[in-house]
Parts: sequence; C-alpha cells; structure tokens
Amino acid sequence: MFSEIWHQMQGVHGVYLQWGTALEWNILFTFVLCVLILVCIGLSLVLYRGRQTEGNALWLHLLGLCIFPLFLLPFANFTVFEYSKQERFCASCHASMDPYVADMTAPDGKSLAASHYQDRFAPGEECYACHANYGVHGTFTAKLLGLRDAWRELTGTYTVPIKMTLPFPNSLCLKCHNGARNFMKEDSHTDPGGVVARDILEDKTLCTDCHLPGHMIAGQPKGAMKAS
Amino acid sequence: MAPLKKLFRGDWPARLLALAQILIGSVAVIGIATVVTLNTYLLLGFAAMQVLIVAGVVLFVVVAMLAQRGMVLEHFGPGETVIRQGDPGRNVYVIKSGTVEIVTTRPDGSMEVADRLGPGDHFGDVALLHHSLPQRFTVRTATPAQIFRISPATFVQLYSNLPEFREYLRQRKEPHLRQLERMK
Repeated sequence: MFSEIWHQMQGVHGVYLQWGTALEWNILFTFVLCVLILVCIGLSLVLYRGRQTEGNALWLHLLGLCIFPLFLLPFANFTVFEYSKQERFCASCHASMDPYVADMTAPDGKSLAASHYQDRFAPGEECYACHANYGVHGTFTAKLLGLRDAWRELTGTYTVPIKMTLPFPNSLCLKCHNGARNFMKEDSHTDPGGVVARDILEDKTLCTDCHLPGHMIAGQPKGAMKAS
Repeated sequence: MAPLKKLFRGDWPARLLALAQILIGSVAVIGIATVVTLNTYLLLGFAAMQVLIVAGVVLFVVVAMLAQRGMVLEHFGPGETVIRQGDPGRNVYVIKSGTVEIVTTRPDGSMEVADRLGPGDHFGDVALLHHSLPQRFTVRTATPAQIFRISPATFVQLYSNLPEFREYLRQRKEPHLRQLERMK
C-alpha cells in the first residue's frame, strides 16, 4: 500500500497526479485505527497490569475496545468493499485470471475489454464496471459471485477455460451506452422513435453477436467464456 | 448449577476483558497486515473478522457494567481455593458463613495451616492496600462457605472516605497476619 501511495504522490515528472480517493483515505484510516487499538491494548497491559477492570484502565479500554473498533467497522468494510472493485483485486487470482487481464491490458489488444481499457472509462475498476450489474442489487450479486470465485481459486476447484456464472446480459453494456451519442446514432441499435431497440433490451440480440468478444484468449474459441 | 457457579466465580470480568482484547487485537493485527499487503485473502478474512469486533465491543460493555458491581457473594465448596499465594492482591474478602484456612508455603515447599477464619473475618486488604502486593498466603475453604468479594474500587472508596472504617481495619488487623507474625 505505502509504496503504491508514495508512487502516486511522486506523480509523473514530479507533477502530482492523484491521491485522496475515498478508498485511499479509508485504507489510511483503517491502518491508523488498527495501530491505535493495538497501542491502547498494549498500554493497558503495561500500565494497568493485574488491574485491568479498575479505575482509569476502563477509560483506556473504552477507547481501545469500544470507540476505535466501532470507528474501524465502517472504515474497514468500506475499504474491503471498495478495494474488491479494483482490477488488481480481480487480477490477484493469478492462474485463472492472468490470460484475461493480459488480454485487457495489452496495448494492441483487439477485444472489447482491451478497447474499453484503452478508453480509460473506469480507471482501476475495469473488471467491475463491465461485470457488475447496475445498482445495489448488481453490486450485491457481484460480491456474492466474487466470494464463490475466490473460494474456487483458494481450493483450486475451478476449471479452465473459466466460464461466467451468469450470462452476460445487454444491460451490462446499456448501463453506460444507453443514450450515448455514438450508440444512439447507429440505426441497428434503435427502433423507430429513437429509443433503444426492443431486441437489444430483451437480449434477443446480444451485443457480442455483432461486436468483438469481451476477451480474446489465445487458443480459446469465441464464445468459450459464455455461461455454462 | 455447581459447575456454572464455579465458572462465574472469581475475577471473570478480567477474563472477559482479556478475551475482548484478544478478539479486537487480532482483528487489528490482521487489519494492519491487510492494508499493508492488500492481499486478497487477507482482505476477505478481514471482512469476515468484523464480527469479532462486534463480539469484543459487546464483551467490553458487559465487563464495564460488571466492573461497577461493588460486592459479590460467592459460594465455595469445601477444599476450594479462594486466593493463591503469589497472586496479585486484587480484592478484599469478608466471610459470611463457613470456615477458611490460611495456608503458607514454607521455603522447603511444605504447606502449613497458619490460621482459621470464620464468619465476620476478612482477608486480602493488606495486599490490596500495598499496591497489589503478591498474596503472602493461600486461602482455601475448610467447609462450605459464602464469601463476599469486595471490588478494589469499592474498598478503596470506603477506606478513603470513612476514618472509622480505617481505624476498625487498623485495630482488627488481618487475623492471619497476627498469626503469621507469631510464627516468625
């Protein structure tokens, strides 16, 4: 974490780029709160050895065992939930995810993932932006499925090539492209009246039927990733 | 009921507090490791361990409430140890019923009953008032006994605010100490 923060603070040619997102602040607060909790516990053991439940020791415990931990709960959970949206989190399942990350980040990549990555439309959160559905329900489903994937990675019970658990619905594309100028000006995308075509809305015509596959993995035919 | 009573006897608020410290401290250690390494499984483990924080906080609240109890009546069967020689002086005990034995350990390791105490007698105040000195003796019950355990805060409050109480304690120096001095 710290080398990463330091790297970002260095910027490019000394020019400050970015630091201070909600995630970065939360990581910092989580770290500080954890240290404060351990300091309080350590101090209580040193200063109030054998009298932990008496007098001023209870005030120290109030800080270390109640106030700081209660503050830690939201910061820690936010850190975990936000960090799990990051591309580096998804990419940390090396054996199974490496080909997909390599395809996405390849400078000359031709897949949808690569072109979206090059567009920098969701820096750092590319996997999540395309694979998680809209809204709280989409986030919840993505987290649950992610937990299952993590378990499979941990236990080595996944099969190669990996397949998506659920079909890739057009709504995942439409959550960004619906209403976009370049998308709406294409006749095949719209019905008379200038609204998105019903076939696309109802997944009768899939985006990937016409466009390049989401990922292009060497030795893997197009469509191999479709849900089992 | 007897094993349950035994479980709840003694300084179990301190044990609960130690458990709360272990629970929350372990979450804090994992938390530091998590944010420093940003390891996937540490992150997931850290998220799952949040429940330990809730458990730790609840334990602390219970301990904080229990710490306010000034005096607790504890029940002992015959032959049970109330305090051990060498333990820090934490509480003051007043016998409600039954008999206890004051046992000292000689340098050669053998044990000797120095005194017997009965209803109305007290013990533990000397070690407590001398900055939690180690107990100089072991106290064990000779018969079934009911003993009040007075918390240090309560005892110190009484001792500080009631000169009559101080004088009473001075005159009625712990009987076993008189006995121990006679033995020297």
